[in-house]
This record gives sequence, structure tokens and C-alpha cells, in this order.
Amino acid sequence: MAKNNTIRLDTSGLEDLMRKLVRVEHAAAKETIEGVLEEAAQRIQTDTHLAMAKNYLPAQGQYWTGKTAASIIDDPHVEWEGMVGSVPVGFDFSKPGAGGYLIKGRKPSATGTPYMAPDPMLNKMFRGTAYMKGIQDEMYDKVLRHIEEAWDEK
Amino acid sequence: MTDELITLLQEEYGLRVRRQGSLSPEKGYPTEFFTFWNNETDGVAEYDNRSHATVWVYDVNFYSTDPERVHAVILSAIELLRNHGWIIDGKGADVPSDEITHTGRGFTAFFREREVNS
Repeated sequence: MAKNNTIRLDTSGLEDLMRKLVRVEHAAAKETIEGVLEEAAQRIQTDTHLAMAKNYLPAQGQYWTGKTAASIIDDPHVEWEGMVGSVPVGFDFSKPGAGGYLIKGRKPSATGTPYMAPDPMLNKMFRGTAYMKGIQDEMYDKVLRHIEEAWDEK
Repeated sequence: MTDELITLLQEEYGLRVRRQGSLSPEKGYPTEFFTFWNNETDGVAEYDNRSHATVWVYDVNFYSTDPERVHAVILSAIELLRNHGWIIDGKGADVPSDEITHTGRGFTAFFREREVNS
């Protein structure tokens, strides 16, 4: 007896694709992103403390009051707004004396005073573009590596 | 570009233009004066493995014992620099003063310097 004509759909490749996508979903999960953000924030926190060392401060720190150092964000937590995770870094501007004469606000404006030059390390970190761009690029690279590793897992 | 900035301001206002942080507390502030700070110089227009233009970024500040003059001079300085090819956004902002006798305002100015023969 002749065999009936059939049409076929081979889904074995799809199943493999679904398994990879599930692994990638885990790799890009909130926990992973939060880990990457917190690691970057801790690095910025360390660099900010270093930048506040008296030998880096203008006039060798003779205008040091301690208020600016006390406002450095030391325990950052990731906050989510929809799909965007963010973590505060640098100074807590709600605290009195935060930033002070060393660095002012979020919008570019003059820093330092006629007696006190801007702190070059803080300027480079929070007013220049290269430092933060470098941190952002590292974060993206880490997340992409997680995703690629998940994709390539056997 | 630092020389050009200093020259423009000195010639227009007849005042000293000092680097931010270079005044001595022993000598105190002059009645009015400018300060500047070169924040960065970014290489741009990158091709053939190098930059062909530079963006200079300066903070420019003016301090005076006359608060009205602080506002007027900053606005006029912004206009002066724009007329000489500088890029400035906005009308400036207050800046801290060490001395209670003086108020200060400042702005950030950008200049794109194209390489000759680029």
C-alpha cells in the first residue's frame, strides 16, 4: 500500500533555541545586572575616597572640613524603573556640605574658588566624560560576556 | 586657546584673568576679577588613526563686590566669547566665593579648534 503524502516540521532546532534563550534570560536577569552595577558603583566609591585624600585636594587639604568626604555614597543600592537599573554614585547632595567647593551639582558649572583650584581627580571622574564612559563600557562588556557564555553553554 | 581666552577678557574689561585657585588668601581678592580653569581638551574628528580637531573646555568665572555687576559682566562675557567663536550654553550660574565681600558667577565655554590643513 502506498504511503500517504506527509508534510513535516522538525522542531528539534527550536527546542535547542528555546533552551539557549532560557539560559540567556537567566544571564541577563536582574540579579546579574544588579551585581554588575554594584561592582561599578563600588569602584567609583573607592576612586572617590582616593580623590578625597588630602594630598590630592587643593592647597594640600588645608580647607578640609570632612563634610564632603562624609557625604560620599558608601552603600549604594540598585533601583529599578521599568527595565532601567540605576545606582547612585559619588556624593549624596542631600547632605549639608556635600561636594562643597570641590564639585558643584549635576550641571556643568565652575568648581573650586579663587583660593582653591578644583580637585583634578574629582573633576576627571564627575565632570569629564572619559572616566564614566569607561565604567559604562566595562559594565556593558560584562553583561554581554554573561549572555555570550550562556548562549555558548553545551 | 588659554592665551586667547585671557587676552579677549583682559582687553575687553581691563581686568586680570587668573587661574582658579591661584589667588593667595594672604593678599585677598581684588575688587573684581576673572578666573578660568581648563577642564579638558577632547580630541574629535577622528580618522586616519588620529584626531583632527580639539574641543577645549573652560570654566570662566567673574567675582566682584558689586552683585549687579557680576550678572551684567557674565552676560557680556558670554556674548563677547560667542562673537569670537566660543560655544556657551545658558547664561551662567552662581559660583562659591571664599570672601563674603564678593559674589561670583561663572559659565562653561567650549572652543572647537580645527587642525590646520585638516
